[in-house]
Amino acid sequence: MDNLCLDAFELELEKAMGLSDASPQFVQSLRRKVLNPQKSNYWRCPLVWRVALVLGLVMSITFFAIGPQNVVVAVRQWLGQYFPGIGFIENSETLRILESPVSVKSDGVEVSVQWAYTTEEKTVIAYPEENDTRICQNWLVYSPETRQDIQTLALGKLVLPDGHELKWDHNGGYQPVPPDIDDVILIIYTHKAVPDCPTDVSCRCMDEDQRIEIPLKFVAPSQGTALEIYEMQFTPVVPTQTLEKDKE
Amino acid sequence: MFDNAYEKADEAKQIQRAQKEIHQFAVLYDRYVQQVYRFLLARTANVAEAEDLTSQTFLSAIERLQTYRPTGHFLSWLLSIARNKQIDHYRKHQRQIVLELDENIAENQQDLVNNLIQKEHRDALKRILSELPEKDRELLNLRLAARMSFTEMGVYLHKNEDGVKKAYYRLLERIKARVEGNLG
Repeated sequence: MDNLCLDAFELELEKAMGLSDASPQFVQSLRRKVLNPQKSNYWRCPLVWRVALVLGLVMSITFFAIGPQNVVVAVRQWLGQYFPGIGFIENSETLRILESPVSVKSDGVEVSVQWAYTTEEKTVIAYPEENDTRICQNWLVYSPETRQDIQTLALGKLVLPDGHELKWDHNGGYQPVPPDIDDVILIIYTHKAVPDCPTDVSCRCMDEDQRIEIPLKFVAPSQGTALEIYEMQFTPVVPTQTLEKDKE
Repeated sequence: MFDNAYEKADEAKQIQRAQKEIHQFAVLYDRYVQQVYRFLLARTANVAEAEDLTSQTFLSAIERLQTYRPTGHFLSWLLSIARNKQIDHYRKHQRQIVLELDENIAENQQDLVNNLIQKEHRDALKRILSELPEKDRELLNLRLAARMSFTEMGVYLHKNEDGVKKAYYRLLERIKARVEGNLG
């Protein structure tokens, strides 16, 4: 086995290391085992891999037995339909989306609702980004329910044409719009900040006149419609008076 | 283990034959089984574990043989498998690699050792060996247990052959000096 020349000290070290050759019985036994492998490599796999392999085979067979297109249809029905910017919508047959973005100008502020949708479970209306600095510069959105300035229009009111209000359920949306109704009105409240408001005095009393009504029309999307990711936009309108002063 | 081109070429042919017919692997097995075993025994200091890991090493080598490309360093390849098997083994059993010598083995060798060196000398060597850092112990294992040539050690350690040789002989000198210091 060895054609190395070890000196006396190396031999001493070898002995001190407690080294010895394998027994002839072990060498012969392993020789038989190595040269006559009893099992295939597959069965030497860990159990978890074997189970995964069997499951994968069963799924593949089922996939091709049922038919790839049928499987895709079933998965889509199960998951719902995916809409970019909205995500998967279960039972997408009940989905209706905003027909087109809506903008309303009122008393120096422009509010745009760029996208919204309603299903049989809820109605969702886009809200502006939290760091959108265009909000609350001159005008604030105010929630009469919480009596706080807010940055989400979801806390506005959503009413049907007959005046019935769709409640905010705090689970990500309003109540669903009834299937036989397509037109709703989103009402949000604004007020103008008072620059010289004394401390501890609320200068933000709301007035029904300071509300903005945004008509929304929901329609069924055409199959396979690719929707863009829309976000709500607030565009404070520079008061005309200011512009005139600038001109002077 | 062998450094000349003729032996390397011969081994390369033998590996190619083994890749085609499994019984041809017998030649390689016979050539290297003791080196792999001694290498593992040096690292585990336990006969049963060394035997088990040697089995795993050769069974794994057979499985992977088709992917091996003859480079003239088959022993380095085998010892790499052996080392990984040992690391896996200790990881599974959540044990630290025990590097101290097994007293049973030492006792079995006692008669032979006594014929070669005095007991005091032997004890000093054992103590020094057990205190060596891992990289020094690896050098001794490769050279004395696996009986590797310096060329093969260089391949296994991914280092220059001359550098390995110098490191090994410097290590021997250090051990000698420590033994003499202890006994002196």
